[in-house]
Amino acid sequence: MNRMQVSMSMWKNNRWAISTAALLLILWEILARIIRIEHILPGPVSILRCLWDLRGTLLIQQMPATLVAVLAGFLLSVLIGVFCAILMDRSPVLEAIIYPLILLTQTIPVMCITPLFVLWFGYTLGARILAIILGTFFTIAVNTYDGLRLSRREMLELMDTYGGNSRQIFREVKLPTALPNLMTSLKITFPWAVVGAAVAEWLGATRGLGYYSKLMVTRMNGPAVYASVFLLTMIALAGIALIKWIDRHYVVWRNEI
Amino acid sequence: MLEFKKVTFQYEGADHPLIENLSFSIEKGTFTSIIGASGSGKSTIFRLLNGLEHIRSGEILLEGKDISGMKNFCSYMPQNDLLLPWSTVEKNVCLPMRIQGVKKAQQKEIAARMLDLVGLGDVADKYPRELSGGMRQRVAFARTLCAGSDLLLLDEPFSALDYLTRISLQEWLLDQWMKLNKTILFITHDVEEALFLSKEIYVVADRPVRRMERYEVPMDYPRTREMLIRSEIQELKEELIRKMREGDERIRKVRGPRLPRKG
Repeated sequence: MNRMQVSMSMWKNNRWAISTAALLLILWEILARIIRIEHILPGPVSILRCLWDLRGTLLIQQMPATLVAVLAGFLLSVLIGVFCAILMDRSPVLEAIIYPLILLTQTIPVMCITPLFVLWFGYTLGARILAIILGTFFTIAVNTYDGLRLSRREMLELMDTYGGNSRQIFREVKLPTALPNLMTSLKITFPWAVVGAAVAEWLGATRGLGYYSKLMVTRMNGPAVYASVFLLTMIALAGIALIKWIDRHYVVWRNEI
Repeated sequence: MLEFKKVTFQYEGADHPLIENLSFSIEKGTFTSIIGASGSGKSTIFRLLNGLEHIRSGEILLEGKDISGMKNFCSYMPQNDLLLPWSTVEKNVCLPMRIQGVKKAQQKEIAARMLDLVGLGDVADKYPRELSGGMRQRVAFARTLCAGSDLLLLDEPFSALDYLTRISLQEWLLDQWMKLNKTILFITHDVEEALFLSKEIYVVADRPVRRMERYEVPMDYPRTREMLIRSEIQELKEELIRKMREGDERIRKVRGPRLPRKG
């Protein structure tokens, strides 16, 4: 398929979503022009204009800070989540210990506990990373654990007949079997990582898109608030697109397990 | 020579042993089939050999030595090819060698040789999903050979294939066996398959399995399908089917009637 055909097929697949979004944007713009209260409801044109005017501040000063927190927090969350999944898969005793604990972490509202992290770590990256981990690692751990348990008994027995030890069985069979589940959990949790970073920046940071949007709220600058939110959404969408691309190109055995 | 000496085995939680004082032996370099109705316990014999289950009493000897302390003395090929969908054909074939810690260069060399042997040297870089059912079974056979043992345990390896692929793979397997000088123990419930391939056939027809009746197939190698229509082979075929039916009835008496399968 050449580029033209790819574009055509993308348009065909998403034409209803794109048309609806375009219609909503037009309606939004019309409504904004009727209401004419910019700090409450700025229109899309005004937001885009603000985005352009503040491009230096938003893209060079604020966005990198948020990106660092999102990427570091998400990466650590994946590592911790996968590690917990491996431990739970290793032994029923470890599962009995770990599962209730990680389930408990899910009952804590991130919004409420993040101020505590700020108290512990101050206005640092550490507090934001902790908030992201708390919001995402449970889903990663549970999905990966389920994936590890999907390994076919016959496949594990075959490895046994070859004399495979538990490390080899994990590397050759269990981990690849669990990868599709892990990728699904990454797609689900990446937007949460962005939300977690923004919330943590709202509650305690000196830089970042969350911090900036809060600052702009206090200054009643509606378009700048929306511009920050727009960039946060773009980070989440770009992350999901990247994870989907990796999934489609490298985890192609999803339907063969 | 492989020897079962008064072997008894019982699954955990079962009320009675599945195998009781079973003795039989298989000569080195032969092609032997074990046939029996579904659930007769023939696959359990393989599970005892490849270490997935452990005998309760008795001995299993290979060349006079107890197999309980031995490693890699047999290679197991299951009913489904069980190829790793995330690995190329070459990496799949290398799997047993990777487990055994064989050096990478040597793995590649042996895998290439085995793939050439099974006539699939040109698909080394492909993934299992790109192969037909018959090709996948041949890859699985190459992987079994790469485990490096002289005793091959093939558990209904062609049962999931269509008829034409199955008979062409039977001919191919016989050809491989004659070249390789390996001992093959083959499980099937297809009497014609057992007759075409084997020098001797054991029938599992007891519950618990106390003895297996042994039949020698009166055909020389190399074999052709035309040989199967000989009257003595047809008579043997009828006899084997009769034995299997009797066995099936005995098993059903112990286990209860077989439930109809869904679909």
